[in-house]
Amino acid sequence: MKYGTMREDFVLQPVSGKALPVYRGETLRIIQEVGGQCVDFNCFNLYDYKEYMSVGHMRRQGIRVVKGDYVLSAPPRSNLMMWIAEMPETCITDLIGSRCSPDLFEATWGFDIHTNCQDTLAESIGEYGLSPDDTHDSFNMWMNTGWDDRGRWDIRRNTGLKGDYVDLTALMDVLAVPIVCGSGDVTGISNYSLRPLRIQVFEKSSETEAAAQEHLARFGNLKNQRSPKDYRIRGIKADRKLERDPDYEPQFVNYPLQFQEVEVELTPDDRRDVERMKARGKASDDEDAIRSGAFTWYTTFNSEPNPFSNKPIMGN
Amino acid sequence: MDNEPDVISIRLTQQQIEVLERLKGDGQLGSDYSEVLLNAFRKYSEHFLGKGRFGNVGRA
Repeated sequence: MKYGTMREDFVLQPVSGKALPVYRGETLRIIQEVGGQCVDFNCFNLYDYKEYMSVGHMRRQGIRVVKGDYVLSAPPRSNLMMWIAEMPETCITDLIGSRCSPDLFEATWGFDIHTNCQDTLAESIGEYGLSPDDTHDSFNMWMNTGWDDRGRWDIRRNTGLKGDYVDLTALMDVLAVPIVCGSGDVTGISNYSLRPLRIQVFEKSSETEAAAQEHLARFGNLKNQRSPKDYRIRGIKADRKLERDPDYEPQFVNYPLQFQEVEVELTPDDRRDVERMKARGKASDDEDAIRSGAFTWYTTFNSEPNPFSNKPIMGN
Repeated sequence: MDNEPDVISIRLTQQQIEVLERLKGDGQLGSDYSEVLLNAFRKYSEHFLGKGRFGNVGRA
């Protein structure tokens, strides 16, 4: 895809970061200046910092997002923030490991002070008046983690090569925060060193604007992509202490939930299938068999692919 | 006893009923909730219980 003119080009020395606006249709490029460096990334709505990237919801696309996936904001906003326009196979991504923090290095290796992503993100966003509490789980690029069946993780060798780059095209105006991960000299995450990254921003082009429109037309017009005007409580709480509002009445969705009984008359074939499901451990009783079978078919074959639940739910 | 109808009552949430209502509107699986639910179950059986090997394909 053809981008517009480059309007930013600078190097992030180890260990530093930068918060910078990237406007809709523009592309942020993160380049391995030397190679082998893990990148942590945060992202905010440029006009409302309470809307920010949700790594947890990005994980629904897969725990390793790839070219073509999205940076998503947290519900109830659930907006497409950026699109991964380019990502080499050497960029292994991680959406589970979160960000390293100073307590980690103190508890694990006895450092009173060690470079870390929490502090680097906080110092970067401070330029826009945000506090350390506003950092959030990071989208990690060139972070080659492995996970076993018990959910335990290990760190594998960073596969990033000099000149590798990731392009993130903004689908809304964002404050993007790429940083050099600070853990790499005492962990293998950056092959036991800390290295610079180059950051570039390209202005929008007719192609990137058309692409943005296409993405937003597909996944940007849901009724349930809400904004503060839809909230019952719209203000941003200014004080830190939590106190109960005795007059507050929650309005839970579809509450109390209504139930309805539907009777079905089984043929001998149906009965055999119900018994087969129970025998295979797929249902606990007759009712469960019909309900689970019918809705497994429905969710498996009637689900639309989308970034909020990218893979159709497979039946069992 | 063998001739008694094999009837099961299924408890569904209002949201599941909404799904049945949509499927009923499509007209592919039947014209009432009972038909739609049972035919969706038969679709599941075809796909996930290996019905083809037992000669029951195309019944739903």
